[in-house]
Amino acid sequence: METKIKTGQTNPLKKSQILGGSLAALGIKGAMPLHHGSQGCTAFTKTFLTQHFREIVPMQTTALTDIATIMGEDWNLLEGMKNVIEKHKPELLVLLSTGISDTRGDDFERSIKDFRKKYPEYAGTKIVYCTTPDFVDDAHLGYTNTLKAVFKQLSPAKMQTEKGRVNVLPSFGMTAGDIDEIRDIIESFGLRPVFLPDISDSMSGSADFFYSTAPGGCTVEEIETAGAAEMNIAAGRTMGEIAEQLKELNGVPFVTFDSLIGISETDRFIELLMKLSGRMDVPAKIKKQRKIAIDVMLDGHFNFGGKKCAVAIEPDLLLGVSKFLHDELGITVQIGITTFNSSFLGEIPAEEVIKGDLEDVALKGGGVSLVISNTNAHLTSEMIHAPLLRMGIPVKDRIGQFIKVYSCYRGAAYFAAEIGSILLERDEHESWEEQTENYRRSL
Amino acid sequence: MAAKFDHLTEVDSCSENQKKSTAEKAKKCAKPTPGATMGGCAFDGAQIVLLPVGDAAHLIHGPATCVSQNWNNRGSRNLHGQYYKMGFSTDVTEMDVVFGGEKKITDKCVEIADRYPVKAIFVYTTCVTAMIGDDVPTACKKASELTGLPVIPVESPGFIGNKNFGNKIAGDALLEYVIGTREPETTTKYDINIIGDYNIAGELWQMMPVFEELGINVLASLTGGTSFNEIAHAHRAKCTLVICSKALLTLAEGLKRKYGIPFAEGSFYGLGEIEKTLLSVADMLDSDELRDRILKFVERKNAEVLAELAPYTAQLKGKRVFVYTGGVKSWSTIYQLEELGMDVIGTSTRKSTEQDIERIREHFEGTQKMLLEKGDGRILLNILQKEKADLLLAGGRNMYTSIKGRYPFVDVNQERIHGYAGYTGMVELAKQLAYTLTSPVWKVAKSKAPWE
Repeated sequence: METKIKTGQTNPLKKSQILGGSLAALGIKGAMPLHHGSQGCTAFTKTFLTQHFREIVPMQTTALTDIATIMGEDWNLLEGMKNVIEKHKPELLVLLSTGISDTRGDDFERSIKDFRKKYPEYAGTKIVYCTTPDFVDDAHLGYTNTLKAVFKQLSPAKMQTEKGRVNVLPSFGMTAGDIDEIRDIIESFGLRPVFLPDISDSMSGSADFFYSTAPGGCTVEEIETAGAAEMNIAAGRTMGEIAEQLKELNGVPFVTFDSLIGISETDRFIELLMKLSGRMDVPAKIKKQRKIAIDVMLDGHFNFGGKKCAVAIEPDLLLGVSKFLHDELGITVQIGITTFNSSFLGEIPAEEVIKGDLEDVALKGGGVSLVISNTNAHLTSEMIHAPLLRMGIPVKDRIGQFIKVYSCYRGAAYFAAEIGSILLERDEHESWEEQTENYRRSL
Repeated sequence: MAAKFDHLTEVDSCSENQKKSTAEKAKKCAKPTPGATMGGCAFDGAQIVLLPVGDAAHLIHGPATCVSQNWNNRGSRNLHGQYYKMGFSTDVTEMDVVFGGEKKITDKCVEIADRYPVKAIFVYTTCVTAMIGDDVPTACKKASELTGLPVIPVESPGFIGNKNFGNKIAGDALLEYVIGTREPETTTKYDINIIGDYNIAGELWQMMPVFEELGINVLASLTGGTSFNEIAHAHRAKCTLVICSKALLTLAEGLKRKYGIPFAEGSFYGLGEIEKTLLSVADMLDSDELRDRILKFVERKNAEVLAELAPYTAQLKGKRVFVYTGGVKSWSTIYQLEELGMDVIGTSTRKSTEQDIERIREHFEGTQKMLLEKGDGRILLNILQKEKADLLLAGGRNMYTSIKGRYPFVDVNQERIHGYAGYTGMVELAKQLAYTLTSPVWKVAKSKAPWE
């Protein structure tokens, strides 16, 4: 296949904004995402996330039907809000727009005012909104846009600092395993981490009961008191923008990490925790984890050398994964494919970085030994005969994906082991094929 | 656009009972309740019908949600091509919303035809592209001239209706643009069409050996496991079987109107239904010889299957199951489960027609069994608890509700892996029911932790 300028997309990598927005909402306890659009938008998104998490995934739709409704009043929106609040009693309603409502030009702010006037009895439920049309941006930005809106509207003002409280802003695509690992480490320094938002509490399977709104996560109160933290930790490059916005709102200082994948980023993270807690005696468990991670990387380095890899994933993860592959394992990232343009794409240590789709994995990934992307890349990675390491969203053909750990020392060990195992198997196979072929020829 | 589809709503499954008053019809055709609904849109429905055409590309003219959260997500299987597993999209952006996106359709069609050896391209209109007024049929005509391929417009904006309505739109597109455009090389006197089976988890393939052994030739499957050309031959069939689909009765009616092909409804779920369905083919073909052959075949098959089922039915006997599906399946599945010796304690009637519901009522007459019109997770769990159910049979979206409630579960939705049609499917269903019911994990899950 030759490479030409492409129209539209073939096998999209990107997901739409409402998916990211809903993901943000699902990390807030008692929240319910309500999509203002056709019921298909929600049905697709719900099924998609249900398959990814293997959990009940609450979300609702205003179910716009026929052109008259769409062009007419915002009856569906007010009625939808009322029905959701009446039935599910969410603590927080997160309104998200779709391509439909944004093509017609809805005004959420006015609608919420109308709703409050019409239904004063539901004043107890907080409502936030974000404009998330699916013809602009992607799920990653839908996630950050929604978080920005949530913080701005629940207005965390300047307040008295609570000693030891650290807010962590987890990046799009982090697993519950990642969040729990980071939490564990911060707690072991005697600090109190609050994840804003926290899907490890709602979508990891730890909720062993039926629920119709997010069953766990950070609380609305924890969002409102975000200004009480000593420090905000942005765990992902784009999360830095949110931390910056928070600083303007409530004056909390912040540190941004490109990701928490790999040894050097984790070292920086531990240094920060040492400084914040004043504890120089790093817990023995963490010291041991670092040694183990480095040992795994040493064990695997015979198989990393000279290898090329294609990575197709959202920007924050692409930055983190590429730096780990290139700077710490010695694997060349032949092509990095991602979902939106950003100035930091230039910092990604890859031979080429493009905003593209999963067809590009086949078009630009010829000769790689490994593809790192979501489940949907399986067709194109088969086309170039490369194994697929599943990461990102969706991973719907693996059990337990969401408890996997990629972050910090333990994550580095697991991640390097997984990559190394795939490459080792491939090396053995290729060596056998090559040797037997050469031997046959020599006879 | 609404006027174009008037003929579809006239024969809409929800108004099939012509004697009903307008008010009654309106009630059954009620619009979804904002904030309290869960189900696909018309575009989803159109894709359900057309995506199984494996050697055609499916180009979605819309923004991200319509394709990104939706592609490579159907359990259909096909040997003619794998293009139903690919997501082709014009990826409508803000610029297109302002200036129109028709040119992208022709450009993308040319690109697809260049890169992939597809036999045809279906182009779907979605909400946003319908709202901005893109002329999709004209763009398709132009794309067809440029590529030399049939390029079929499917005008299926999601807001126009529910999934069932989208099924009809797809059927209409096939009738208008595909069926009758080619002649089959050979025909037999027992040529039939099958409508409404999508070869989910290979279910049509479970039935094909049966047809073959009986000398019945499936001339065109609409659309499970099919190729584009096969659909074009459908006008030469001697009769049509509509499988578990009220929505696509409009397509069967169209085939009858246009080409005089008679049709009957049937189901491949359960021994009794398979027999009835096969006999209805003999009736439509007016062949006593075929009828005799079917009766002999069925007798032999039933004995074989019952022997194979024995180890499982022993485990299933008397187990209480609630069925949460919809449409025609709400009754066809009941029969199948009862044949396995299970006690069906109730069923949902979502998306079922009055006819379907009447059928269940008659079947349940004189019992306390339940018809649930509309449910959600909580209602479902309450029923399971109150009725002391042993198992839930439902679509994939309810799987995790069932797991949270610690109820064994069998998935009957379109993303599943196992096929339950035909004789082999009957055995497969029994196995899957037995496996979940007897799994030791339920006991572990219900055990108390040391600190409880």
